[in-house]
Amino acid sequence: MVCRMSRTMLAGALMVWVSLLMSACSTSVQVAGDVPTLLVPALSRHVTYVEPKDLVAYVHEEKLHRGGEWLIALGQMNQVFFRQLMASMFTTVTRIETVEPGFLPAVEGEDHDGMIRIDLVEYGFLTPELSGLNFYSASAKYRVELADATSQSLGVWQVVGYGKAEAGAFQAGEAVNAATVMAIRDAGARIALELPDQSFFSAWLEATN
Amino acid sequence: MHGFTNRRSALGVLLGRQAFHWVLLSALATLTACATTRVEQNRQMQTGLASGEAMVILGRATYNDRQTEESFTDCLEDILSRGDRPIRLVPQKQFIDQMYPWFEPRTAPGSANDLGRLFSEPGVKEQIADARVRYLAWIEGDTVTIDKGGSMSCTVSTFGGGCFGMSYWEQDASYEASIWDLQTLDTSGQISADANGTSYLAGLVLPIPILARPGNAACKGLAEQLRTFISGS
Repeated sequence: MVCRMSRTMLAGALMVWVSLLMSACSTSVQVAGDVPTLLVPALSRHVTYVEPKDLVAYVHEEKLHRGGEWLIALGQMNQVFFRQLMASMFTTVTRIETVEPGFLPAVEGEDHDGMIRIDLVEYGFLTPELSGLNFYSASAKYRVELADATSQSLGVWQVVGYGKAEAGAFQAGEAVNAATVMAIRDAGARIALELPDQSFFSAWLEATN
Repeated sequence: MHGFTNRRSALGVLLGRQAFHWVLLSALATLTACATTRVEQNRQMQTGLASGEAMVILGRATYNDRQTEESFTDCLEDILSRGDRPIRLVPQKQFIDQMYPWFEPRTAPGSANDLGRLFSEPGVKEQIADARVRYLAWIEGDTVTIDKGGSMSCTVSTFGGGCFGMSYWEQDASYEASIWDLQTLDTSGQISADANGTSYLAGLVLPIPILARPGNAACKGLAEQLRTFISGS
């Protein structure tokens, strides 16, 4: 009886050890965080927000030399965050989804002033082992394209958001999540505050006044 | 029966020894090394909190290789919101979310002189008035290891294992709180707290830590001085 119990306990301990070893080799992060509302007056324009499938389904996969395999799913956070950002930036927003890269679809029967498309061009992150610093960091590069009401592109602006977060022991996933959310928020802050200053955007604002 | 009694007494001796070891280990684990703390204050204006007014503690996040630890600002919030004279605090995350995008690392005001510009932005003044935030305390600094040495090795084999040796590390915690008055849009003063201490890890079969925790000492020193500073007494 004792022997059987010992075997069972040994097998259990072995399974825990193997699963710990396996989990140590790969980290999966479903990025999630608070989605704030802008404390900036909305621009009184009706825009069509073109939401690419790649943006809302974005998954970053990377195998680090000394950090195991990483799978970071940013898509859901991108979706929730940029929908909220667009809704806060403009008085009226109509959203359309597209699967085609770099495509600004013609929208008929919509009395809108223009179109905005946001794509995630590049994402990267660093662990303390790679950077030599005490925290995890992440950067996200977005491409923002503005088009007029007839889908004619007026200009493209690329913006990089950056974030970093400290991590305790066994909290690498949480730290990467926090750094990524900060990077998305940083990009959002830049879009809200700096996009209206871009020459093509201010020209469009004047033209649609 | 005789054998059973013997087994019981042997078990009793074993349990007694184990209990003694646990008591000894617990006593060793609670050992703390000394940390020396120095707190300094520079007051530029009279302060005081009216009923219902609040303060926000914000950790300064920059894009260089240093950053105020979130655990440090959490520690300050924890101490200041309790005790004999608790201060009403608006949590850091809540405040930053409500003020988005004005208090992100890239956009946050760098000095009290920037407050005038920030307050001229639509909605900012009203939002701060709604939350009844009177003071902002910006916390800058961190805890760094400035020296370490000694050696300790741990081995595990089929016959058992253990750790032997001694290692130490000296840490320096240096923080400064810059307090801004959101009514006068000016700096009320600064408080700095510096703590230094050496921690040890002794390997006596089991590794026994004797921790100095200078970050914790700096937090306690800064929090109590901040409480006195804000309440104006």
